[in-house]
Parts: sequence; structure tokens; C-alpha cells
Amino acid sequence: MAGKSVTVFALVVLVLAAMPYATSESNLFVLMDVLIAILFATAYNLVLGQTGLLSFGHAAYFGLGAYTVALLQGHLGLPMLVGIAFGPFVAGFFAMLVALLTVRLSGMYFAMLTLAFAQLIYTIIAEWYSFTGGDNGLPVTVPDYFFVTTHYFYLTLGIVAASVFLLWLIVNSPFGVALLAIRENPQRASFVGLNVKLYQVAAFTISGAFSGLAGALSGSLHQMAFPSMLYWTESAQPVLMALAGGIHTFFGPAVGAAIFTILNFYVASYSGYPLLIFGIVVLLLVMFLPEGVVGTLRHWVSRSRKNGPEAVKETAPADAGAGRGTRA
Amino acid sequence: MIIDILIQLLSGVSRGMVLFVVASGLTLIFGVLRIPNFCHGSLYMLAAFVTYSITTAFGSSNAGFLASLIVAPLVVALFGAAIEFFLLRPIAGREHLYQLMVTFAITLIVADGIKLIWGGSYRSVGYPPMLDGSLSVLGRPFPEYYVLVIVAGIVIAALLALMIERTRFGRVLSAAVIDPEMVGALGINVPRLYTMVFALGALLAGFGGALAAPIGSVSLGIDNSIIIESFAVVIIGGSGSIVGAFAAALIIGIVQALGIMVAPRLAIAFIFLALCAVLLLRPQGLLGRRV
Repeated sequence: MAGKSVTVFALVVLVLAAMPYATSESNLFVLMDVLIAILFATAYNLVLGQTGLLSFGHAAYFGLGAYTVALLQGHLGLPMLVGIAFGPFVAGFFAMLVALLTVRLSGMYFAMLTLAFAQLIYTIIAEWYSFTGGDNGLPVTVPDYFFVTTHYFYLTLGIVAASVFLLWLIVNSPFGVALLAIRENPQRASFVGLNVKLYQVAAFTISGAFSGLAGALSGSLHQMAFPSMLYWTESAQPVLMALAGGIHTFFGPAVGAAIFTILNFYVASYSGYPLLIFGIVVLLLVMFLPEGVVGTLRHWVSRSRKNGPEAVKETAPADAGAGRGTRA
Repeated sequence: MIIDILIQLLSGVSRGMVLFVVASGLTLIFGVLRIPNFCHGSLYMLAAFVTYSITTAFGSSNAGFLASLIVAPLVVALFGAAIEFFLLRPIAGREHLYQLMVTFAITLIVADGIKLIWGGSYRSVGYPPMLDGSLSVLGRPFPEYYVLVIVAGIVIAALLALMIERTRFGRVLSAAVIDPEMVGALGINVPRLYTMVFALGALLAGFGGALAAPIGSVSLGIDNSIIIESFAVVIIGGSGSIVGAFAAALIIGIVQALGIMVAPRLAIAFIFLALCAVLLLRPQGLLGRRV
């Protein structure tokens, strides 16, 4: 199973690497947004799907990544690539601070607190004009080499592919298994001897760091860091993407990210009421496709393949998992 | 200077009262249904727009104002009951995450729905003629309408406290805040209780929206600012606690009003400082139970 995932993953990366030869420049821009969203959603799901914590403030870490690039450039004159390299550390540091304060609470309380802290970070960035430029945002200058769309595309693809692979290794490591145990039953995990809070803080920090990396790539792509990147409604994006793909699968959030980013692009370009359409899509998705696209497909596949009592067995643990997790 | 501070304090109190009315609904919904109702701000905004339509239809008269105070909350309560019944109840058995995302989807739909019905432009609702003037407080003018808001907030707080202490519904409600499963085991119709609590919460959001319409602006986006402040009230006050919400809303209103005098741009950040302090000292909120 693991070997198969890696093969599929490598194939997808190869197909993406051929894209600059197969499609137009404007499509490449959409594709870069998709790649960045994939990293954001996959990083986010380390907290939601893997650890069972509902964070509603990940836009803050995404935005901090973008602001790291812009601030290092604007105040210290450091080049874009240095900023992108620092982005995950700054975002990860703030994520760790927030996690240290919030992991003592569980369920929906945790969700509201992560939201509140994200808004605090947003407020500081949006109002500290002399340092961050406030509402106007802060520009990012892209070096000449990466001004060529194809070059920046390969940079994005390389960083996203490496990061997603790293996250996959983390999820499949003993550390990842411990997180899963915590999601299923925090009390039992602590009886076994796991330091539950420490693991939760670590997962949140790693997730925040990779979200920051995604944000750093996004800020560099759009040549701007905006306060609205950190606004609380943006924090719903990774949650929706992860849900759309399936939070109990590793690659589900990536699929959800692709669907939502492309949908968003077309709806925003062709409709006067994008929120209305988006809201209805979310409503239908949440009500009728709770396991997400990948999760649902997986059920179908395992059911049709086995078609017997074993198929029921196969799906049972996933359903049991869905009943717990983020419940207060 | 002292007088300036006192006047500012008083307007902070009136601000806190609007926040209390809205957040009391949120804290009841969160306490009983255990979901942070993201669309609470949308219900508030919807009520503000309904108020605009009603007062415009009545030509900004006293009657229009009174009608809006009654009709707008009822419209919103009905809408809230429908949300609970048609969208939340069918998925009540699932993780709370899904219900949370349903309420988020509704914020998107309501925001564009209002744009569709009322258009995107900025509206304003005038003070009702009978409360148009100002009182003299310590020699300074203070709008009469703000006094009404303060009185209304106190009346709502008293009514809610009475309801919780004295009525059967109130006692079932506070029992459900502590343990919803036990309430079900005792033979209470829990789904119906949920719909009623959600409708009551929406009614309060609606009343807050109608009350605030003449003070603030009636425009798209007011849902986002009130919802964050309301969440802060719920966290600081403790989930499901009306008294806690009252205290927290007053603290936030006053902290913000005084904060504006010190550092106008960072006034909102003061809320979060209060929130962090409460969180570190009393994670369950001022009057909440351990979670």
C-alpha cells in the first residue's frame, strides 16, 4: 500500500512537471495556486485528520509566511528565497506559542481559541502600519530569474512536492501513529504513556510551519502580502479543502484543494455572487459527502473489490473514527 | 479629563449591551448544542437589514422603530429555527465539525443573499424621533438612544435570568448546558429543545441587530466584526452562562471604549489581551464549568 502511494505520487509530480510544455501561461498561474493550496491543506490536515484537533486559525500561519518574505525584504533587504526559507520557522514559532496556550482545551473550545489568536495576529498585522504597511499590504520583489513563470513554477512544484512527501513520511512515522492514537482516544493514549499535550503542540507547530511555507510561496507568487490573507474567513479554506477530499486520508486534502481552488477561480471569474454558489457547494458537500471525495471513493473501491462481510469490516474502523475525533 | 473618561465609559457600556444581547444568544447555542454558531453574525446582519426596510417603509417614525424591534427579531428567529431544523438536525449524529461548517456555509449564503436582495451599498437607519435628542450627563451631551440601548440590555439580561431560574424551559436549558445526554435520558425531547434554543439564540441576535442598526452602519461585513467579539464574550464569560456573558460583554465594551482613547488602531487588540488573561487564569471562562 505504501509503495503504491509513492508510485502514484511520483507519477503525479512527473505529470505536473511536464505542464509548462502542455498548457498556457495563465493556466500555469492557476496551477501554482492549486499547488500552494495543496501544501496548505495537507499541512492543515496533520492537525485535523491526524491529531483530531479542529484549528480554525491556520490562515494566520499562512499569512505569517507571506509576511516573513515581505518583511525580510522590505526591512532587511534579504532576497525572496531567504524569506521563503525563513517563512516556515516564523510561522512555526507562532503556531507553537498558540498551541502551548490552547491545547489544554478540547473540541470546539479549541476551535474558538485558535480563531481568536489568529484574529489577534491579523489585527496586529493589519493595524501596525509603520511595520507592515497595514491595509495596503507589503510588496514582494521577485528576482529576475523567478520572474519567468516556468522558473517559478518549478520552484513551487519542487518545494510543494518535497514538503508533501515530508509530511507523508511524518504521518507514516511512529510519531504519526502516536498522533492517530491521540485522535482516537486521548485518554487511552496518555495511559499508554504518551505525553498527549506535547504531541499535540508538536503536530500543531509542524502544521503551522508548512502552512507558513505555503504562504511564503503564495506571497511571492502574487508579489504581495495582504492582511486579508490572515482574516478568519480564510481559515475556513483549509478546513473545507480537507473535508472536501476526506480528512481520514492523506491525499484527500490535496484533491480537495485542487477542486476548491479551480472552482473558486471559475466562480469568482464568471459569477456576480461567488459566495452564494460557494456556500451552496459547501452545504451540499458537508451534508451529503461527509467522507470527502477520496474517502468516499475508497469506500466504493474496497466494497466492490471484496463484496462480502470483509467489506463491512474494512469500513467499520473508519466510521468509528468519524464518530469521535473533534467532538467536544 | 475625568468627565471625558466617564462619558467614554458610558458609551462603552452601551456598546457592551448590544454585544451582550447578541452574544447571549451565541452562548446559549454553544452551551446547549455545543457548536460555535458562525452564522450568528449573519443573523445579526440580516436583522439590521430587515430593520432598515421596516423603518424605511414607515418613514422613520416611532411606530416603524417599534415595529422593527419586534418584527426583525421574529423574522430572524424563524430563519434560525429553519436552519436548525432543515440543516443541522439531519446531521446531528455526526462530529460537530460538520455542523460548524454548515453554519459557516450559511454565512457565505446570507452575505451574498443580502447583497442580492438589498444591494451592496451602505445604508443607515436614523434614531427614532422620540429618542433623537441627547441628555446632559455631567454637563456633556449623551445620546438618548444610547440610554435606551443600556436599558434594553439590562431588561433582556433580567428576562433571560428570570426565564432560566423560573421556567421549566429555562431549567431544562441549563441542565442541557451541563449534560445534554442526561437531559435526553430524562425524557426531554432533545431535538425539539435544540430547535427552540437555536431559535431563541437567533431571536437575541436579531434583537441585537435591530437595536444596533441606528448606532452603527447597516452594511455588508458587519457580520464578521460582531461574530469575533461575540466569540470572545462566550470564551471570557464561559459557555452557556448568561451572567458570564453579561460581565464579559461589559468588560469588552468598556475595554474597547477606553482603548480607543489610548491607542485607536489597536483597540480591538485589547479584547484579545483580556481574552488571553482569562484563558491563562481561568480556562473555562469567568463563570463556565471545566471543559
